[in-house]
Amino acid sequence: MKVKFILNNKVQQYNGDEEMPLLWYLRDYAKLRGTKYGCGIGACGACTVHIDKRAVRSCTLKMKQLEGRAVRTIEDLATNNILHIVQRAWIDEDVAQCGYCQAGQIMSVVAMLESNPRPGQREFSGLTNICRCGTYPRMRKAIERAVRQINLTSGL
Amino acid sequence: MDGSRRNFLKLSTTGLGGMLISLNYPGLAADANDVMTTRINPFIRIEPDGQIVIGARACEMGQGVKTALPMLIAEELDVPWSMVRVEQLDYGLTRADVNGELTNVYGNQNTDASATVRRSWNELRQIGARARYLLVKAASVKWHIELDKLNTRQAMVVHPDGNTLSYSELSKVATNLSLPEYDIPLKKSEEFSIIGKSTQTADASEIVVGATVYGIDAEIPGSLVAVVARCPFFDGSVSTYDASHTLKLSGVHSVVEISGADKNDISLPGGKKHNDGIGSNLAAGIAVLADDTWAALKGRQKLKVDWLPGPWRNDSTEALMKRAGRALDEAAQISPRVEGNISQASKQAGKLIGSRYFMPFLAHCAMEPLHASLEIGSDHALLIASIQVPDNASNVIHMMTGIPREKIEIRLPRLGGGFGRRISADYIAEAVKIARQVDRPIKLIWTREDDIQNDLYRPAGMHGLSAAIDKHNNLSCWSHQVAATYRLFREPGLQGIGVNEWVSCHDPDAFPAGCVENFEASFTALEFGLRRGWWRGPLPTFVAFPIQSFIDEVAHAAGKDPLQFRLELLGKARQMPYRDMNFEDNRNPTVIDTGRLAVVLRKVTTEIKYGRKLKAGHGIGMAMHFVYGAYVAHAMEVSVIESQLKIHRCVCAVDLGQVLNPSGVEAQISGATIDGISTALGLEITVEEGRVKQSNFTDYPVLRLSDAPDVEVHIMKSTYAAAGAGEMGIPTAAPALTNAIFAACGQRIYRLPIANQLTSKS
Ligand code: FES
Ligand code: FES
Repeated sequence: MKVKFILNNKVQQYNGDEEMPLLWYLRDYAKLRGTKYGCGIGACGACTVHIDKRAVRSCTLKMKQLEGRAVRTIEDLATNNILHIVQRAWIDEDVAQCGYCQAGQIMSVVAMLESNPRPGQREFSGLTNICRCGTYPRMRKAIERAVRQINLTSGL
Repeated sequence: MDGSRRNFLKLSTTGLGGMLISLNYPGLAADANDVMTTRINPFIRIEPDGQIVIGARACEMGQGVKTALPMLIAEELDVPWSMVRVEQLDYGLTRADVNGELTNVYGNQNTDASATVRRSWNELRQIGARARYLLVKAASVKWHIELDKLNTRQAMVVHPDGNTLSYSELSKVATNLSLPEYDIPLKKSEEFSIIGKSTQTADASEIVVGATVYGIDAEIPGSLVAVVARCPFFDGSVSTYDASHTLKLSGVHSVVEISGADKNDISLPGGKKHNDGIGSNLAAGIAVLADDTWAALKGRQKLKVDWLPGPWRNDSTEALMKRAGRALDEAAQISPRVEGNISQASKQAGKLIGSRYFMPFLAHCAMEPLHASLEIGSDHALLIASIQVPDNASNVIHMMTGIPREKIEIRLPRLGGGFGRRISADYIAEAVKIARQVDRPIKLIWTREDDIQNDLYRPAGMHGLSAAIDKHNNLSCWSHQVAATYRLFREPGLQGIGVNEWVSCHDPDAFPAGCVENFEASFTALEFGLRRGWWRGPLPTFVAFPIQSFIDEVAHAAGKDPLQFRLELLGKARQMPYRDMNFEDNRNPTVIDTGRLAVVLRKVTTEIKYGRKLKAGHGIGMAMHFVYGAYVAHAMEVSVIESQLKIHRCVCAVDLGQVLNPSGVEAQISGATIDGISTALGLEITVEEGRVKQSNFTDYPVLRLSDAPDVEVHIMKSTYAAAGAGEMGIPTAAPALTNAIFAACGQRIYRLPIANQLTSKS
């Protein structure tokens, strides 16, 4: 079986083991290692990518489920070297400690803001990625900063 | 500065080019092709465009040392931080000649015990000052003017007449000059322009684009991925196994057996044992080697292994608790501190109270699982892995392979968290065992399940505390007996109870020692098969919870306010002797200053407005502790309504001595506080029928965003020596939280984690 999908705007063909989780394809074959392994069972969010604009934990998705879908990883978030507003906010609030969870955190937040640029309590409680270093307070500040920015630039 | 350090500064006066990271021994290598880039010393390079590249020697695991250590150098070099680029240094162990002594060109590269900044404070500033000295001297040669007429500013040497020469113009000449024999005088703290200023995390912009290479991301070309099926029983072994299904899978390369606990694995020349107990901390298992991670994981799944369960097969944490209780009923094995007369004071007491507190085993659960990329040649080895103590890794590889230590190349990538787990090199030893059986480099990966089930756990134990309150309603007697699974139990050569067993589980000089007339701290060792290790703030975290909980209980028994009671006990500001038994060297302060402890306690209670009238179901709790030379207090306001706990405010105050990077310290204290809360709320490793029950974040529920409070951090202005920051925020978080719970609903927490113990109806 061949799987055809889009990875960071490029068409890809895959004909390896179709049971392989996307996470290991990304890390071992696409050499996109910004997507991290943390638990392998969908419990931590370190491996979060976007599939058709929605945040998905790539360790829970098999290659065979990718047919016709578009995958975006952290490496593709900044376009033409211009950081995404969320990435910028992350730097400005100096969120990262070890940083290992942060690509997954950013991907989750970006997906949340793309579907709702004015997140409320409900959206925030949908952010369930683990940060073992406990950077949550700065993360909240960075999200608030990004929200302000987005709503400013979109003239709302 | 010692002789060897002076030597390496002289040795390295050769222009070097290329990326520092790619050199094995940057201090000694030379590259004549690139004359434009100049290395002033092993830590400092000046690029043609004037950029100053400063090497970070310690392992960055999120505690901010990759930023903090270069700040020390930049301060004395007198360059603006905006001109500095930070680069991670490799392990710098080298030998000047075949028979020469081993030296590390960068000094101590280890990251442990919050000591990295503490031990670097003067040393790295001297490194910066020496480089600056050479640059100024170079200007004095060019201008024919005495050294002391010159000044520096913005990476330039300034002539009295206002002329300037940039560091990059001077760097070539500087490398040919010699240093004085004496230490260069350093800046006074009023002159600091970088130290004490908030500075952004060195890799921040790479992290947010996913470009940072962590240990687990590195790969030695041609390597096989290895995963191991480990015996789930402590000290168990492989009986038989069948790998036929595994070997049929495409992508699987081979299967090798690794022996487990073997005390003879690691021995130093002369029969001495390595003090890390590496060999005895390994599980027996079967390693599957494959082309990629998925194939290796699948291959492991297809293995059929029969395990021999070993001597601990019937043991459990519930049984351990019972043993702990019995141990506390009896006399302790050892009493490291006894003062006054406990039994007499108890007889004369107006009131006696006693309580027992249980502390569970804990896993580290660093976000990046353990791993090691390793290549072993006949006379050379290369290791790329997230490690906290490269000296341990280097030693282990050397002892297991015989490869000379200077031939063991170690790269130090960024760590996805450490929390003490990566101090031990057990997983490096495991990688060595596998790599020696295959003819290719390997990349060993632990899954999260492997990580949680094969950790070196924070010890568990029970604290028996008792106190007497005299006729005047004062604390007259305090006894703290601990029965615990001491950390060092597998250390080769350890026999019977001695000085080493209790140091990981008891702190006889901790408050209220010295503040109460009749005092006893005692210990009984408990046997248990689980491996144990260092866990962020190992000792302070283990003792602060029972002590600060019981202080509260005693205050209530005496009818006193918990804040007033603590301040009364601390009394007049004074210094009390403190033995830091965890460390052989003297790098830790040897006194506790009761005044500094009182200051942080007052600060948090003032900030949270302790004493104000609270809503029904609300309560404020507090705790303070002396942590490796730092003074820390927490106060929290919580509510417990219908058994639902909510943290409304969380305030922390720290006196860490001089502060290098306030923003970094704030992050550490805030993160550690959340670690403390997360752990107190829900984390526990339990053992049933000789095996660890938990296996992933589903049953080891690390706190998530929605449950994490904001943390208000107050850093006290202090002129005392810098104490570090990584572990300081964690010990007092749990007792402040449980004291607040008591204040809110009257329920005392005697066993961590809190989990679903809350039963209040209020
Ligand atoms: S690795 Fe995918 S959710 Fe944890
Ligand atoms: S920054 Fe370390 S796990 Fe989130």
